[in-house]
Amino acid sequence: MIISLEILIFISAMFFVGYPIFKKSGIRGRESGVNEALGELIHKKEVVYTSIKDLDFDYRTGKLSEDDYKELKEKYEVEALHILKDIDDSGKKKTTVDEAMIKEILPESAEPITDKDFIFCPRCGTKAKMGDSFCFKCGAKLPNLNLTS
Amino acid sequence: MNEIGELCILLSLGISIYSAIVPILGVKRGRDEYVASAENSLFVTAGLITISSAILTYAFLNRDFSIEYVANYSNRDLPLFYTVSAFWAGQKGSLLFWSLLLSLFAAVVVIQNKNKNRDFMPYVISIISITQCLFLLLMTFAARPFELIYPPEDGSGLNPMLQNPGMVFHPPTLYMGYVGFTIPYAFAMASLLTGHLGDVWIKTTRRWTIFSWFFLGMGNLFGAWWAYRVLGWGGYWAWDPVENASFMPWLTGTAYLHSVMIQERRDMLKVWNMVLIVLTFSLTIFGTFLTRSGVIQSVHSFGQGPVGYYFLAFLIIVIVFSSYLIVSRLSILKSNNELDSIISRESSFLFNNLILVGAAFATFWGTMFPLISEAIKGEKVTVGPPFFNQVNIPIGLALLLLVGICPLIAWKKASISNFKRNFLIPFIVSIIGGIALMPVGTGHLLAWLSFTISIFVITTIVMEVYKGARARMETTGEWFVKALVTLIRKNKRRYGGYIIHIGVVLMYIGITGTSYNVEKEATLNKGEAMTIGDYKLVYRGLDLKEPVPTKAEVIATMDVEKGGKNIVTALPRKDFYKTSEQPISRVYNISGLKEDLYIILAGFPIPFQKDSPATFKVHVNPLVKWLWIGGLVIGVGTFIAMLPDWKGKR
Repeated sequence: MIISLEILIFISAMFFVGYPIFKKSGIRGRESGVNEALGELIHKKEVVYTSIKDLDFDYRTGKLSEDDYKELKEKYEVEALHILKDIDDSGKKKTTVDEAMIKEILPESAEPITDKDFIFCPRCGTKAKMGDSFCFKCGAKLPNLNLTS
Repeated sequence: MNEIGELCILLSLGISIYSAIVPILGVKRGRDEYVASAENSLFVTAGLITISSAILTYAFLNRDFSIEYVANYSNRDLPLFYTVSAFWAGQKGSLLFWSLLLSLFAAVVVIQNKNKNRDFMPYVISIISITQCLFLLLMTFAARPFELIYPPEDGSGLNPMLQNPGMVFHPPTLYMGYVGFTIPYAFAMASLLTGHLGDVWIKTTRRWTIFSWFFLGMGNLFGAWWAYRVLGWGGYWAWDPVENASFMPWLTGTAYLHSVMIQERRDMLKVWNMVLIVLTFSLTIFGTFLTRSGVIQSVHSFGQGPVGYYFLAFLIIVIVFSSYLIVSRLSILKSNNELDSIISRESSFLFNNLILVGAAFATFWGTMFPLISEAIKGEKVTVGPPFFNQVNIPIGLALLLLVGICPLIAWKKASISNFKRNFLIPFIVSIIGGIALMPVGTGHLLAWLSFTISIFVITTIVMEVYKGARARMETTGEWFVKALVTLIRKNKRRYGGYIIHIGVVLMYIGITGTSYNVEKEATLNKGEAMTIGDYKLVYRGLDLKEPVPTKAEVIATMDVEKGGKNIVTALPRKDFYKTSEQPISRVYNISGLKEDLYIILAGFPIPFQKDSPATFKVHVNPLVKWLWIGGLVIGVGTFIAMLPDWKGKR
């Protein structure tokens, strides 16, 4: 009885361990096809978004002065913009940069802002109206970011 | 049945060796089916070790004394509750229990990562399997749980000190913590091996880390509770080497839990986080080595034997392998980001890390000093609680202060003016509290400081939560309670963390109460009284009972009066077990929020007489209950922090 049980356990264990090899099923193949550079960009994007969310929360709870808040926020928004552009350029997805950014970084409470409203200057981070060709502050050429239109 | 138990262990060993090698081959040869086979191996191992564990439990319940382990740790009269917990009362069973937990955790990891982290999984499987091999090797060669003997009439029985509910919870919770840290360690190594050094491994193992940290902490707390209720010396923590051994990974684990937040937010401290998780995992192995090698005298020791040296060898392998991997990846682990300002949440987290690691190092030094002194001077110099208290109390107070300061500081860049503004109310409240507490501070400066800082920390946390809710109210127009609930729901990690901090403060309050402990010993004749603090205890005589055939209880009756009123009849006792020469003191503890009245029946003349005089040791231990309440609050906070985010599943 005991020996039969032992044989049964042994055979069952071996069968279960060896089954994928005999079946040769490429179960849930590895993510070797994933673009590592893109993964790194997405990671960077998440870091910047979290930073912006933290900034916003710290400002609203009175831990940051307005000047520091504005300065840091602009810095991170510009960074976010560059990363999003790089992501778009890498061909993963044709998204409207502003749409993605507005969706992910602005506080839920904020009024929805459409892509018609503004873009950021890539050089100084100043807000500019969508459609403007040059930054009114530093004069840098503004990119045409509305990729879907 | 024992043959099946042994076979399952042996088979698991073979399969674990297979699953340590095959997934790596799968990666090298691009054969996904190898990885799938290794994943199945983890399921099979879990199944086999579960069968082994079930067989051992059955042997205990069935009083199968032909198995040496069962004969050594149980007997026919052992109550069912303790017969089940006898499973992990000794070395062999605890190794099997450890292996069981690891195999089950491994199976859960495979299920969780069925469709994600596929690049990590071969390495994760391999590292978990290598760790599993250690336990299985031990159970196959050095400490066989199913070893047979000529069956005695009855077993030796379970050590009476282990016949306590604390024993049922203390080892399993501690082991869950110890074993749990294998998972973040395995992912960290997988991240180094694959070169994918972002924060994916941190995010993937975040819940495992909190889970392990929580159980390690709870294991320590249950141990403290058990010591307090069973050992009968009036305290709960003695800086015993093995207590220290489980405290150290908890400290480094706490540092790790905080520092990963900086990596997630700023993409910084990647090397430091790797070092911390390696250190934490290594310290869990080190703790096991200390307990099982007998190199250091401890109440927890399993005695001298070869088992400890298996762990030492494994520890060396872990440290060398991990260090090599970290060094080889140093160039890509380095961060491009820098701290924006020295006054920022990041820098306060860094201070917190340094303090925690400093405390771990001080504890390590004190624990190992007897060995170091023996190696250098040839004599063992024992380091007692005064050293640990002297070093760790200031460190602990600095840490407590940081718990209060951190939430007041913004990420990235906090301006002095904002810092001052946020600091003002908690500062004023703690000053007022400190002044009010002046009377209790006389002669107890550190205790007073601890209470005052505790007030500061609680105020900052309450303010932080209030400000968050108010900010939400302003932007969403929600009413306060809704804003608060939504805020917590949307930021479970942040607010779960704050609740944990409140629990930590309550524990500090409980620990600080030790400064005011009062102790008195007296031999009383029947009808005589002793006083301690506000209490008067009148001794009414002894009684003898035999609730079970294996145990006789000598019970003293004492009327406890407070303010002239009889508040309770205390029944401290001594238990005499047939299986043990040493009687066990059963403390009578009257526990309140303000203080515990802790009564020990220390002695009485033998042979027993009802009217004999008896000696009592009585302690008044203020605020101890807050230590246990703090543990409960930490449990609630951990639960909230671990709750999944349902948003994405809708």
